[in-house]
Amino acid sequence: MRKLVIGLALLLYAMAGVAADRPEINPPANGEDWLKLSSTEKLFWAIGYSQGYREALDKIDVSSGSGSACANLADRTERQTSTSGKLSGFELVSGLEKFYSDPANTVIPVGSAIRIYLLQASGKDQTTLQELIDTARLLGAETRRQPARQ
Amino acid sequence: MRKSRLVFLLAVVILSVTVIGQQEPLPPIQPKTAGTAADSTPPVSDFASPFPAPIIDLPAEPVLIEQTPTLEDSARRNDYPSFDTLFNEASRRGDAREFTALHDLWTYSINERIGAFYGKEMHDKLARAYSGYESYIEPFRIVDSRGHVFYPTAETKSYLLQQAVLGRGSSVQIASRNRSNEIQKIVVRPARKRLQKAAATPKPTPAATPLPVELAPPVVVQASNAPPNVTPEPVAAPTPAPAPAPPQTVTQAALVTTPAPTPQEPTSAFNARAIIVAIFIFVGIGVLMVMLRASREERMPVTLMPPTVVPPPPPVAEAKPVAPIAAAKPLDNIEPIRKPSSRASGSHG
Repeated sequence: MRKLVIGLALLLYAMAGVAADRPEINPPANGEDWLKLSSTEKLFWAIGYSQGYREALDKIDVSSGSGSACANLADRTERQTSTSGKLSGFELVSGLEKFYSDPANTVIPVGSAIRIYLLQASGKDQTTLQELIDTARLLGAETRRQPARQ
Repeated sequence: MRKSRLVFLLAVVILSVTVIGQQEPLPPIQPKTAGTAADSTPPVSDFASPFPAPIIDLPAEPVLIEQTPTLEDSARRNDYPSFDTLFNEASRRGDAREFTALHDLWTYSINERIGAFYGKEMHDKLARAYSGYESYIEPFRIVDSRGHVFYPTAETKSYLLQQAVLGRGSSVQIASRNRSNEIQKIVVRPARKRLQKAAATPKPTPAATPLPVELAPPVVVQASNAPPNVTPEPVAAPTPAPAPAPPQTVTQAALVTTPAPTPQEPTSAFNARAIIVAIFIFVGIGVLMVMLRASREERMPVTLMPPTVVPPPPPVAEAKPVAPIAAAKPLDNIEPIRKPSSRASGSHG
């Protein structure tokens, strides 16, 4: 009995130690997380985001077949939202910095912020953009509350 | 049996002690104002209250404390719109001198396409304005694949905010008033104003105020004859007295001159560049004029000799019969006009 108790205690201790040593870095979820990063981290995150997005779009052809409906959808819609080939890492970081310089936008997820910024850069009308921003603020605030409730 | 009784008794004692301990009253609550002069004196009341003075006084309505936002708060919250508004208001009153550099940098970052980073020019100007800036920003610099160095605006903003909070805007003024103005102008037009100044007064500017101050420190340090009083007017020819330089005077001169020399070196270099550019422009204009004249002279005889062109018609007449024979080749030359359509069809295939 004693051995069992000691063994359990040791196991718990070891698990706690392993959990403490394991590094954990999460990508920025919204503006609050984004503003905590250093500029170098932001830049490399932006480059990685663009590259990953591009890779994912290219993989759609592989998974669904070239010329399929999925591939066409990827071409028509999703490519509009990708940053690769449109913005450099420096530009993307600068755009997000501008976007999050308004504290009301800090609840908006980074992905939504990038899409809004791309639309802004492409000359979308201000009314539509403002509607999008308001919606994104509401959704961002909602997602922010959910983990707090749980 | 005794042991079991003893254990039972101990358990009862422990239990009773814990229960008694829980029933012990809590420490008395004392008001926050206890110990002040107001409490030491008995409360003066118009009517005799049988109850003691209230210990906890809860207001019936929430007290709304209006906090006027400050420039520092808005900068810390990364709130550019409110920072800009507050800065403009404060600058009208003349209270925002410390935050000028921060405002300029932030405005630059908002307005520029790659505003999250800036280049060497602005870095040099900030380094001149703030002594500790260079060592601070060095670890944050980013070198691109072409070897260009960029510096992050976000980290610089936090540094400038720190300096503004510490009230070190004065160091910018001590360095020179032009520097702070330069930093303000960097954002808008860094080079044009300098060019205008250099073009307007290329020679008198160095003789005016800044250059003598620039040249003074090195001269004083090398000669090391004159006391530190010489620093403001050292333009006079350095006396070649080879007196041994005492280390104290040198250190004093170095201390006095440390803020001044760095910013003014580029102005002299810039003036030299402007002069060279002006010389090149003059030389270029001269060469152009000579070339234009030469071309006019060459054209004149050509225009005067039109009658010589008359003979060609006969050969054209001779060529006509040849044309049908050699028609294949000119037709090939025309084909390229059709090529777009052929290309289009080709692209479909």
